[in-house]
Amino acid sequence: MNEKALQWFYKELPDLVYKGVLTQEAADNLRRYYGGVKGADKKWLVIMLCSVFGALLIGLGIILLIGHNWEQLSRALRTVLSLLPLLIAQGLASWVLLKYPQSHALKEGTATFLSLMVGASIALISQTYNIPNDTPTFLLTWMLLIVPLVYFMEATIPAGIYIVGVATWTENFWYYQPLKAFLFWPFLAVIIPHLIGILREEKYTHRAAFLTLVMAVSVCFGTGFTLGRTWPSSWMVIFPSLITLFYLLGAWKFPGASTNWQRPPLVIGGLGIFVFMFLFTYRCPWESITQPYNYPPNEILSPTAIPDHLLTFSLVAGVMLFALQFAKRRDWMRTLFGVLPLMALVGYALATASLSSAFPTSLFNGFLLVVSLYRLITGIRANHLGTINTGMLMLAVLVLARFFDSEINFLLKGLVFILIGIGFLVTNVVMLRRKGGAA
Amino acid sequence: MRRKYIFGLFALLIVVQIALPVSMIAKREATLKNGVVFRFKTAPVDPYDAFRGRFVALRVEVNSISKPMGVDLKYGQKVFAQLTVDANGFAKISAISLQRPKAGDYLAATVGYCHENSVNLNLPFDRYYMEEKAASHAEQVYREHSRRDQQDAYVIVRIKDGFAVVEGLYIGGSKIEEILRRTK
Repeated sequence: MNEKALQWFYKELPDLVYKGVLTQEAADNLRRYYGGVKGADKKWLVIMLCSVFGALLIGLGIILLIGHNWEQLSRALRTVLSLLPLLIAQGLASWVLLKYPQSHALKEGTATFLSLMVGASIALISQTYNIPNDTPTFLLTWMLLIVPLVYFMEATIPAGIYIVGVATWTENFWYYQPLKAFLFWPFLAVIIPHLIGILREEKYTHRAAFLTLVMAVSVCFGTGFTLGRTWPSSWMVIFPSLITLFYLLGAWKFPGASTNWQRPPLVIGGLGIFVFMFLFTYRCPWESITQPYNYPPNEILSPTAIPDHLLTFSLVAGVMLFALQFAKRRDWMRTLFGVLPLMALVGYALATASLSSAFPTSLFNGFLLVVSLYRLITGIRANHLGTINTGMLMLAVLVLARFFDSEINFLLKGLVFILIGIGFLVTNVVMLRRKGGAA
Repeated sequence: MRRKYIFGLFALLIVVQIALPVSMIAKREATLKNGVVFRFKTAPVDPYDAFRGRFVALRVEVNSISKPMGVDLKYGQKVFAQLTVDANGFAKISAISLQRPKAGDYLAATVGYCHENSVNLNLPFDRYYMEEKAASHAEQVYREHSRRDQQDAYVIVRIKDGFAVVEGLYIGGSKIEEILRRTK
């Protein structure tokens, strides 16, 4: 339940018991059921922002102070000063872990500071000894040195830094060393127990939202660096499958979210699905399948492509089976969105077999039309303004895009714009009135 | 009990976090103290790519060598460059091998671009860090002395067991920091 609503509800409870609406036992049961109000959540967000900015400012300050007269200092002194930020951060983290092991906020802040100072110290030493540019080694060393903090100090921001770090590290290998790039997945898996722990204990908090958001975005980058490098334009099946997986996971695992920020996978997935549906109504992505192939050198039949094939197959098949679960539950809206990977696969097969983009583009124009109409109708039936508006928006985007493609004069195009605008306004006014009447 | 266990592991992590930078320092200090001195002549630099932030980008002249017969070299592969000194006292690559040489001075490097008969090596020194204000001035001086008509810039590198550490950037026989102090 929404935190504010819960606070209000708890305030009302004594009064309800006093007036005999609820028994004391029922009120206690309700309290047990909903749990405590987590004021700590907002505190976590503030701590997150303060610790990141604080650590950055302190770190930069130290580096600037040292850097000011860097040339005049002896190498021995420079070396000691390079280690100083790290030692200070380690001291602070140890003190917090010994004295305030219960304080999540202090642990989060000092772990973040320590995470950044590990990187700063290595960078300063690299500067002192003119160490050549080797970003991947630097990044991986830094990330492996900070990842235990996620568990020892139960800190989520270092987990975010680590995930972004390993995704950036992977980027260096996607072209020449595809097998090495695949290490992204085991590296990412290191954070999974932490993610599961947070989703179990504090699913609808800023902390969980932050981690799932960073995870989802980094997984998209990681997928780009590791998959889709064998079959020409296989991204057209891989990315829709991934984004659908986010959407379905969001729908499955976050049913109690009261606002959208509490379920980033669903929001990213929903938006992504619409973007892909719309993109695939155009000819150019389908035409790229039959274009001369100029991707990195990873042969379809080479052993280095095996992990790529395996993960791609598991992803696409897994998402389709997942969507089937929603069909079994008769959740047709989710199922329709979940059909995207299958449609992309059919479109890919059609484009390859016919060597033309006409079939897949017609397929996706029809698909987007059905999905937007279904969403619109479901929204009207359920009297849900958000669903109606997203359905109308999807429909409007499709109509306008096709309209722009056609050779119709500007006057008529202008009139259609106005009509769609009026449609939006009228529907919203009618729905709001209807809602007002119901209340 | 659990707390003690976590703190024990945390202490171990702290030791590793410190040990790594300390080992980086120790290895380089040992090389600077006991390594053999080599002078590498710097090559003309691309004026648009010479300077990135707070360091002078170095490009060493002798980074290419004829391809050994019957050896298939790939980009990024580790190789050992055997070093000699030419008549002017500058370092020269005499041969490359995939195995660590048993005798003589050598440098661990990676394969850059391979041409039909020659191979370019990425030597393990590509930058010389300087203080922010001095850096742009240093770049200008370095560029003037790395032109084809006036090429008297070189780096002094200490090498021990194939591992190299840059000791200083010299122009016309003087350290760049000294030149900057003189011309300030």
